[in-house]
Amino acid sequence: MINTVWFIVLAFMLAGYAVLDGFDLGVGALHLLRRPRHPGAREAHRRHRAGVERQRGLAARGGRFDVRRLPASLRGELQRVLPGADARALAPRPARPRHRVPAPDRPRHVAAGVGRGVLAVERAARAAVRRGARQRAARRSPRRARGVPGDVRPDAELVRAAGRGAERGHPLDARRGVGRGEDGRPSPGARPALRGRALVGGDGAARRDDCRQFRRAAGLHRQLHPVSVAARGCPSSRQQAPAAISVLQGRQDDRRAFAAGAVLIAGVLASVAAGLYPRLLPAGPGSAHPGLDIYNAASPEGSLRTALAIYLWGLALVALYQVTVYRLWRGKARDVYH
Amino acid sequence: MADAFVAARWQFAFTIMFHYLFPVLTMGLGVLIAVLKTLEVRTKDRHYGSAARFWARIFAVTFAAGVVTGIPMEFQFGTNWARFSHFAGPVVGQTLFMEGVFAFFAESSFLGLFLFGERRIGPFLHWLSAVMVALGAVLSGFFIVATNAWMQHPVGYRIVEGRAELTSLWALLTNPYVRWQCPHVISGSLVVASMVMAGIGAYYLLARKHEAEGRTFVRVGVTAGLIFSVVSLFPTGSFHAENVARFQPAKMASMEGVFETQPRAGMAIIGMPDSERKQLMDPIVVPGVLSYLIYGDVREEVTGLNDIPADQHPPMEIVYYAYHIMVGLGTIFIAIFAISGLQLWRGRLFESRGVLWALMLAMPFPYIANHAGWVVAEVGRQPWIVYGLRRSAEATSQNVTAGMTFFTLFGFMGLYALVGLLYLLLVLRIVHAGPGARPRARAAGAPGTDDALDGAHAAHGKARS
Repeated sequence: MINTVWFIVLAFMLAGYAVLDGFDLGVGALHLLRRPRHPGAREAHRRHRAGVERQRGLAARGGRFDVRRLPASLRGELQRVLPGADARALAPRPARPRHRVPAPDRPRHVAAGVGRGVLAVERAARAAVRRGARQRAARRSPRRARGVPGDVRPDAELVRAAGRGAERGHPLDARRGVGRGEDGRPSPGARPALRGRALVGGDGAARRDDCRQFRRAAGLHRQLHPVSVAARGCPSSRQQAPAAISVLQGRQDDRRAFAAGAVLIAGVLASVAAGLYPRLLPAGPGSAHPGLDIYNAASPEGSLRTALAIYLWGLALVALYQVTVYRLWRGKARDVYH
Repeated sequence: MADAFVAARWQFAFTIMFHYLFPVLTMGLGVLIAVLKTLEVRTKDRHYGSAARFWARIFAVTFAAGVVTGIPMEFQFGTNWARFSHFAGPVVGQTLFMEGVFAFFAESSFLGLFLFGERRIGPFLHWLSAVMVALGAVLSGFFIVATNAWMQHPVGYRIVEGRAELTSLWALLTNPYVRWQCPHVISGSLVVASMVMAGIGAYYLLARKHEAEGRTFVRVGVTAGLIFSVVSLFPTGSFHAENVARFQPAKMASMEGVFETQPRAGMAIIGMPDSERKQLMDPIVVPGVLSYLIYGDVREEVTGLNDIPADQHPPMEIVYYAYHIMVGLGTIFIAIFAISGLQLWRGRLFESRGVLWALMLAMPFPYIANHAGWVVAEVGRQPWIVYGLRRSAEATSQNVTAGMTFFTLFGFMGLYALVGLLYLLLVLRIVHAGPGARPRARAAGAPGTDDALDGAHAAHGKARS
């Protein structure tokens, strides 16, 4: 029991570390990419980095979670990059009216570039899958390779459908209600063929092949998509947290959007921990060592109990420090870039 | 296996000695900054405030370098010293954990407040943050020394299935060994901080710049240095030596070069130990002093190395010379601070260029003395890693080779050289800028500040309208 408690404590501390330190690191990193809005301020920024660095320190250290005190453009990027939000959120979004943001907003452009890069890699991978599928289909069915009049482009359609399915987190065959038996439950053997027919039509061998590619594409899509990665581990957050981030960003509710991002990253880490439990460091295949788990890596029970008591007192003290510092800083970290 | 053991020792020795260059300053400097802030609050003298700000900048840089160089040591417990961690982790893990949650958090949380909050949180809270930083630094030192004290003199444990299990946290924290070891370490750290403060103040006075703050530095540094260099000798050093003789007679015999068990044992002022012939060559000995210092009675018998099994002897020459370097330098510090204090009392210190030169040039030596002290503590404990329970050779990891360890050791050397160079550059830059000149970011209306940016925005808004 005490071993399990400590496992939970460690998972909690790791998640806390990722969120807290992620905030500090994110503010520090993104700050360097940002430019002030007005020419005068830009000049001041260029000439006196020391003062700016001090303000950054204030915002990052003192104003922890005080997202409202951060520069507006930094807030948005922070929520997208740091909490591991949907990579698509990094893609270009409708630009703000020019009169609101006259100066170039570099982080947004950089983040958009990162987003485009992610999507480009994804597209390239999909194209590679499609090419492979075509080549294999050509070997199996010349007719399919030549193309059939009236036939849709199966690969592109399949991959797009797979992508949509993976994003939504739905079982692929459940979307169209095909591939089900009389009892309404999915029929594993029937699924590929039925799904292939529904989407493509045409030659049976090609359909089977396409369905295999469909699955591969879906798997690839899942692997490439950060939210899908998170989603596999943390079912509750895979739809809610990214959606909440987008919705709350749209409402300009930065604090809650940041909280949603934090919940997402904490949820992902928690799900990783849950997946590992009770292992800490699994042994490699063929290893003579059984690997580390919460039993063979732990201290004796008496030491664990003592450490838990220390931890609870320490946690209370740390919380007190953080609340004190937060309260002292609240509203005092000025938004100098704005 | 022996090679891997030697490599692991080299790696730990290098990383910990390099790392200790930083906390040895911050532990003492935190206290002196709190003193400066207190003086500012009490006297309303702005020079104390400006001095506190100046030293806080150096503290922050040193603190950061200490954190960076300290992290690899914790990893080494797992990588190079896995059997030690398996054996002693249930006990020493408690104090290391307490250092993190009780001390380090306080130090880092309030350091941010102290550095950036002077104009935002009011004088009392700013003073309180300085005190909390000092408290955090000293507490941090206490928990680390308590960990080391358990390795020197294990208490509050029982052995369960070949591992040490903690039976009393109170016993661990009130280990008789830590009672004087910790004050001795903290007073040594305060001597370092005092000497650095007085030395930089002396530099400003000799260079005739920032003289007002230079006088403050010298005055505070010399006063604190005189107090703590004496405290390092008595009572902390003296009583700690008693503990060493009581719990680790082999270490005490090595420190003093005592081979034969004898009453009226003398203290060797100088001499060359020869562990092969088992004698101290060409010694200058003050008779009876060692017996008196350890037991308070010249007739008491002091155990010599010849009466201790050879397989429990530490490397005697290293311990002997390190101890004599520490004590010799400590005596020199007392002399320097006593002369400086006398001149300060007579009101002539700031014009005594010779004494100011001595203060400035003596800056590196407290570091050497503190490191020599730790060499005595750690090498003198050998061949044990946990005294009387586990030998060092039985504490290394079994599947890590010497080649692996040397590879990372060279990596650490390169990285630490970079960190050390960066640290020196930053500190020299701060010293060059000086305390009198308010930081550019703080000057009212200076570009880059709130005022300047507000002004720029206001001008921009006016131009638009």
